[in-house]
Amino acid sequence: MKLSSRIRQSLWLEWVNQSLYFRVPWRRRRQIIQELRANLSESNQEVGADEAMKRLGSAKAIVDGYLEMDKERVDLSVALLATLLIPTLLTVVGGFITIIVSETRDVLAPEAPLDHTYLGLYEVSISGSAVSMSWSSSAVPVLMLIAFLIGGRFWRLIPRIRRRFSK
Amino acid sequence: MTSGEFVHNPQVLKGLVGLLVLATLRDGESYGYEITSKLREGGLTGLSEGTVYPVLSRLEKDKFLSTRLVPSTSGPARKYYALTASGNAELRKSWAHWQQLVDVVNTFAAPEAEGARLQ
Repeated sequence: MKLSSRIRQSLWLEWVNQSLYFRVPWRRRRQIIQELRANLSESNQEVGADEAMKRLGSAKAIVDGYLEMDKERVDLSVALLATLLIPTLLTVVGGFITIIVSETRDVLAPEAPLDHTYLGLYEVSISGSAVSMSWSSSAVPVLMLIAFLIGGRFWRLIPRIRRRFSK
Repeated sequence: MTSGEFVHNPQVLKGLVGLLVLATLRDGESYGYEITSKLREGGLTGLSEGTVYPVLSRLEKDKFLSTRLVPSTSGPARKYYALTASGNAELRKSWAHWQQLVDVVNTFAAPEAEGARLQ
């Protein structure tokens, strides 16, 4: 097989692999890629590399086909994004509240440092003109990710349980 | 739309590929590439392998197919699919549904039905 065809096929498989990343269980993803590679190898020998690629069709279509089975599954990348975005938004809101409280404090008790913990998740401290925000513990983002994943798991299971009982 | 375009239409094929794959495996176990080749030889010349492989995966997940890996001399191990008892039952059920659908389509869409409606 020509090097260019080999590269093209490897890129195709990698594109499918990356598109399924976080979205189907890793064991099944590995099986899918192995099976595609085996079938592609067979097809290469029978009809040649170019025709084999043509017969496989679009990578997006095949990914969509596989994802259709897992559409109820929570997307790990969404959980990761939620873990980053939600606390960040809370922190911004908390920061504004703290600044307002700080301004009031300046009038009532100037120069006193101010520390506040929001929802037990992150801390905002104001000392003089410096404002700093940080997680209350380094375990918080990890625990939040676990909470999102467990929540996602239940979110996935509940409709199934309902369907089972409604049958 | 010609008959050739019709059998290549992904929207038309979407609901039928499962039935066709199950039917292909009625005569014995096979692997993805071979199943697609059989369907192509059977008339679905434009059928892409990318349409068939996810369907095989879904049928396996639904326990209609069992699988086993067989080492191949020509490359990576092949994944062979075989019909299970519930797969056989599903094939019969899907076939019955298809027949009902054909009857309904014939009732409404056949040219002679149009003639009867116009009279």
